[in-house]
This record gives sequence, C-alpha cells and structure tokens, in this order.
Amino acid sequence: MSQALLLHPDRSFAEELIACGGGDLKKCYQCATCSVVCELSNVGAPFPRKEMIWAQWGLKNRLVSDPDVWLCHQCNDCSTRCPRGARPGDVLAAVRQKSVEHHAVPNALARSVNQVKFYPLLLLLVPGVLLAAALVLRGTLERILPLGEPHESAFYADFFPHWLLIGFFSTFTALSFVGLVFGLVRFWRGMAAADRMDGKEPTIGVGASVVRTVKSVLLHDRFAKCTDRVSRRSSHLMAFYGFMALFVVTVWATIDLYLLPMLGVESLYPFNLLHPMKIVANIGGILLVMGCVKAIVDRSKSRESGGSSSFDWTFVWLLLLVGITGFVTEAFRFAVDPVQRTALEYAAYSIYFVHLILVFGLLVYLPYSKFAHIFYRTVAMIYAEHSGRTQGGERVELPAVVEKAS
Amino acid sequence: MSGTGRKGKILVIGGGISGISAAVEAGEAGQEVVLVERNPYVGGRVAQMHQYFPKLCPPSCGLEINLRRFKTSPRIRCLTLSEIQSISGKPGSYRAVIRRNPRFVNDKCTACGACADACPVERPDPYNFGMSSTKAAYLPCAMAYPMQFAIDGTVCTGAECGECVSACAYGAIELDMKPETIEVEVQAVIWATGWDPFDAGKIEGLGYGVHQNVITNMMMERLAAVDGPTGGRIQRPSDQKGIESIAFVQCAGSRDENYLKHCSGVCCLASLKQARYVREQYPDAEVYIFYIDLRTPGRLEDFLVATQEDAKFTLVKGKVAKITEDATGDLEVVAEDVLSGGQLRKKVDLVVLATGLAPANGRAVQIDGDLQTDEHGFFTIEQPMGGMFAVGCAKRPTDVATSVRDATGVVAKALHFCGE
Repeated sequence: MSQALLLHPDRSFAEELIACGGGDLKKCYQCATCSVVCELSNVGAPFPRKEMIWAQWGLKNRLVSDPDVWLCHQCNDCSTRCPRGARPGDVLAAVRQKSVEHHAVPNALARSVNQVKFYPLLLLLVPGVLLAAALVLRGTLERILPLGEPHESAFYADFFPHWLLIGFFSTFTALSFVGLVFGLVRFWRGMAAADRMDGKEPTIGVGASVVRTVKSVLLHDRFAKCTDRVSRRSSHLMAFYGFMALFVVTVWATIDLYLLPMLGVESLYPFNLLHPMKIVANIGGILLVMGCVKAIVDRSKSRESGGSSSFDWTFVWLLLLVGITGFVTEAFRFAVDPVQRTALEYAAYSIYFVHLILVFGLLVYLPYSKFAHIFYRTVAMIYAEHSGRTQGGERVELPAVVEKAS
Repeated sequence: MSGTGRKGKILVIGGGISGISAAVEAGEAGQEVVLVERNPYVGGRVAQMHQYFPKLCPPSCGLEINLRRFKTSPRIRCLTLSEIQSISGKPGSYRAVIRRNPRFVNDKCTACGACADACPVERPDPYNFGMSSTKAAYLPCAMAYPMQFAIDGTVCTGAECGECVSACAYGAIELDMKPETIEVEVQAVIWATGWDPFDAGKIEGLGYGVHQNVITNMMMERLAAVDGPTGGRIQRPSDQKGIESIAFVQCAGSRDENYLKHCSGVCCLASLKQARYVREQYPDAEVYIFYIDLRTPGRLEDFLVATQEDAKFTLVKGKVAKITEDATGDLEVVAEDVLSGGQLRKKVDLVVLATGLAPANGRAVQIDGDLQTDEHGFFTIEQPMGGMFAVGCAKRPTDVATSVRDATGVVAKALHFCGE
C-alpha cells in the first residue's frame, strides 16, 4: 500500500492549540501509553495518541473532523500517566474548542466569544443594550400590535412582558440556532469525508445510532467508564439534569401561558410553590447550582483532573450565575407584595434584568461557546456509533508489523 | 608496570565492574588502593549476568580477567561488607571513615559449605532476586571473591543455635564478630557506586509484584544463568512451564517523568540479547518486543539486524501500559500498535519488564563539600571539589565495555592527586 498522501500541515493551528490549553503538546514522543490507559478509547482507531501527532503537525482538517476527540470526557488519566507530561487530555479539550470555533456560523462570532477581552462586550454589553432597546420599543410595539399580557398578576410581566420575553429570546436564539445547524451539518460531513478518505464504511444506521447515543447521554454511561481521580461525572449529571428540568419547565410555562387558554383550559401561571412544575423547576435549579459549584471547586482544587481554559471557566461560571440570579429573581417575586409595591420592586427588576442578560449570554451564544458541546458531542457520539468505531473494530493481529531490515 | 613514580593512595567506592577496573588500573599504576564494597563479594551487577551483549559471552570472560588482576594485585586492599560513613579533608588529603559490618566468618573459611548444611534458617536469596533461597550461612555467589561464606546477621538466630560453629572443622565461624570502624587516608576518591534496578513495583499498570509471571530483565538474567535458580532453564515463576510466547516491555520506568526521566541506555540491547536466550532454548517460542524507540547506537545496530533475521521475533512500536493476568497465570499485554494505529492485545506466557538503571548513590555519606549530581541523580563527570571522580554507571547508564574503558580514563585523572 504505497499510496502517496499529501499532508497540509498548519503550524499556526498547532500554535492556536498551544495557546488555548494544549501547551505541552510538543512534548509527546508517540509512545501511546495514553491510548492504552484510556477506558473510552476505541479498539480500531485508539485515541489520543494519533490526535497528538496530528496536533504537532497542525493537521487541522483531521482534528476538527475527528469524532474521537468528543468521545473523551477528560478524566485525564492519559495526562497523569503520560511519561512526557504532554497532557493529551488537555490537548483534546483544546481541539474541541477549536472544532466548535471552526464549524460555527458566523465564524468570527465564535472566535470573539471565546476571547477574554471580548467577554464584557459580547457577554454583557450587547445583550444588555438589546434588552434595553426591547424595553424602550415596548410601548411602540404595543400600540402597533395587539399584544396583551395574558396574566395581569404576573409580577415581572409589568417590567418585561411575556410576549416581549418570548419574542425577543425566540428571535435571537432561532438566529443563532440556524448557524448551529449549519455548523453541525458541516461537522457531520467533515467526519464522513475523513472516514471515506481512510476507506472506512459506516456500519450502523443513523436511527439506531441516535437511539444508542440518547441512551448513553441520559445514563452518562461512557462518562462512568472514566477512571477519574476527581469525578466529573456527578457534577455533570447534576448540571445536565438541572438544566434539562429548567428547559422542560420553560417550555411548559409557555404552553401553559399561551396554548392552554386557547384550548379552554385555565392557565395556572404564575405557578405557586407547590405546583408540580414549580417543584421540578426548583429542584432543577438546585441541581444546576450544585453541579456548577462542585465543578468549580473540583477544578480549582486539582489540576490533576485537567487544566481548565477560559473556554471552560466562562461556561461554568455563566451557568452558575444564571442559576443564582434565577433563584434571587424568584425570591423577590415572593418577597414583593403584588399590591403594595415598594423600592424592593426596583431591586427585583434589576436582578431580573441581569438574569436576562446572562440567559442571553448562555443561550444565544450557545453555538459559539463551550455550551456547544451539548450538540457537538452528541452529534460526534451519534457519528461514532454510525461509523462503528465504538463497536470493537478490528484489533491488530500479531505478527502484523514485523519490521525486517532491508 | 612500574607506575608513575609518584606514590599515593586512592579510595574506590564500589566493587562492581567499574570499581574493580579502576582499582586494578590504579594498582598497576603503582598506587595503593582501598576498595570498599557493601556486598560480601565483589563483581556487582555484572556477576549476576548470564551473558554480555553484543558478543554473548558469559561474565566469566571480562569480569574474571579483571577479577584475577584484582586478586593478584599486591596494592589493593579489598573491604567487603563495608560502607563509607564519612569523608573529610581536601583534594590530595582525604580521611575516610569506613564501617565494616561483621561477616561472622573469618579468613580460615575454605568454602567447604558444612556451615550451610548445618544451618537451620532459610532466607530468600537477594542475588537471585528472591527466586530461590539460601541458608543464613551462605556463599554469596558461585564466583564470589573473597571465596568465603558469610552469615546473614538479620536472620541468624545467633549463638543459642550455633549449629554452624560445631559443623565448621576450621574454626572459621565467629558469631560474636562486631562491626569495626576503619579509617584511611587517601589522595583521591573514585565513586563507582553503580546502579540499582528501578523498582518495577512502582510502575502503574504493569502488575509487577501482583502477576507472578511479570519479571524484570535482571530476573531474566538470573533465570538464564547456569548458576541461577533454575540452573539456566527459562521458565515461568508461577508453574515452571516453558516458554511458548514472551513479551518484552521496553522503557518500563525509563524515559518517563513519573519514574526515571532518563533513557537507561542499555535496555534495548539487553532485551534483544534476552530474546536470543529464549530463542536458543525454545525453537518454537514467539518473542515480541514492545518499544517506543529502539536505541542501538553504532555497531550495536548489527545486533538488532541479526536478531531480526529470526522469523519468530517481532518488534512492535507502542508502549505496553496495561498487563492483565488470567486464572492460568497467562498474561495479556495491551498496547497501541502505533505503525498501524490499532489496539493490540497479545496473550503471552511471560512478560519481561526492561526496567531501567537508577543511580545507586543515594545512600547517606557525610562528606566535606558537595557531591554534584545531575537532574537524574547521577554524579556529574567532574566533581566541583577536585580529587573526587565518578566512574561508570555512577555517572550515567552505560554498558560494561564502556564502564571498563571509563575506569581507565578516570584513574588517569585521579593520579594527578597522588604523590607529593
């Protein structure tokens, strides 16, 4: 098989990986200890040894279309066992960031969102200004359009009515999710093209792959295989299910608010504390905050479980702050007397406004931030099932590589 | 040899191949030599070897030649079972305090072995890495010098037993022998403290000390040696079974910042050599060497090429990071075959860890001034204080031939400090 293969090394890409957490990648001498100690590694095409040499050579196309980097849950056993201190686990994390940035549409937004100097502008100022503009335009819009608040008694609706809230966030999130879909399609095609180049054929249907992946995500079963020194799984489970609960409640609240009255069912919004949805929301919120706090504490305590870049830190802090401001906002709702309103009202509106800014930062920038992993990792896991790489694969049979001197 | 005309005295610390060679050279150059050896015999690690690479001759050639020069030199004083306690003074004028531990056997010993026959106490034999045992009264090894028995004071029950005393026809046993302190004045000091096999039990994932059939390369030397625990038959420790397949794991602890950061330099050749031992005894055995990089510099490359002619011999680029054992004692080594990029699991009868060379100079010696070591713990070539020199593996991992040559060169340097 003397087939010529033209490589396109990109030295600047290697430098980028070094800059965002993969600082030790050049120390690797390809012993493949990492690929063996990893409990998640594939049999047919183990990682992360091959990714390390691709990173050293700056083979960007191979790395950004490599599903294997997303099969890693960064327990960093590879890094602690690495004889050279090349920290493969941290290199894979950097590759994942670069993969998100590479596929994101528009690309420039992803590159900016992940730069520390743009955080104040993009994460706070832009959503702040947009939300303020929405408030200013509120009166004008209400005159033009037949928009009414379905529930007079909803306290925050006086400040930021539900129609505005839903309209505003739906518009921006939809816009960014259009970009996300484009990115994911490019990602899938990239992975498929890379496998075709290697002469590998998919072995399992996409539908079956989706089923397996969803099951795996819900159980976090691959995560459980990680032999973490500091367990990331429990914090991830809490944050994941906490977020999912809040997502479900938000969807339900919208249905309750707009859809049920249309069907003639009486809306119970705003929910009281004993409403099942409110209970789910509060438990979800607590899980989310606990998960984030545990993740932050674990990461601060020990570099052993992996170096964290600003890409990671921004996300986990944003998520935590959304949770905390959410609870404060909720507390104000019960603290403020709906009839005899006081100065407390303005404090409540302020914190709610901050909460909305943070939610914007989290949701609208999702496809460009670490939050994108929720989609990229899922798509990569589906592709990995589809391509058959997680299903055993062909093991090398000895003697396969007898090196005879010529 | 008439010497340089300048008369002095040199202290050599360590009686392995480097120390013996240095002592012989210094003695033949006309200097008085005091050689201090911790073990009850000289010969060090080389004495434990089955064969040298690349010529595959036994240590009796080479070591024995120098040992004969050593024994017959009138200027060498050899102190076995001895350790340096302190060295004070300055270049050209050092005073060394030596503690000589009791052998419990005096010079009347003829090595007849009657004491060992009578002795009721068994102990694991460190010379064979615990793969066999001796009595508490024992001959350290077949070619021991001095050719005398010794009694292991840590297990001997002492005078209340006394079986050996009545068995000895020569009055050679002195169970009340005490440690003594010897002081010597020397002009130069040569550190020939050599190396220790890296403790393979520290290496994560390879199961040494847990799986019985995972052994070290030094244990392999003893297994193959005719004076070894099996009379030279290479077999599995767990069930004495012969070898159908064997894996050598290179860089077991070496080139690894978690263990030994340095390349131990000799393990590639050592494993290639041991592969030949196995193939010689077992015409059908399969041999696998798992490596990161094969290091066979200079003419040693020829040895690699010649070994590769063997169709039963396979090289795999990829480090073994996991070894598991089944109920029968068979082992499975796991690696990534880097050249093809797939995971590889291989069942074998025996695994040899090519454990590296750790500097053996870490023992507490009080000295005036600094002894300089490099980042890996080996002595630097030139010590900052004149009159002190390191030789052989005390300085860097190296093979036997290089150590012997090094000894000659270092002695030439030490001679500058001898005489008036």
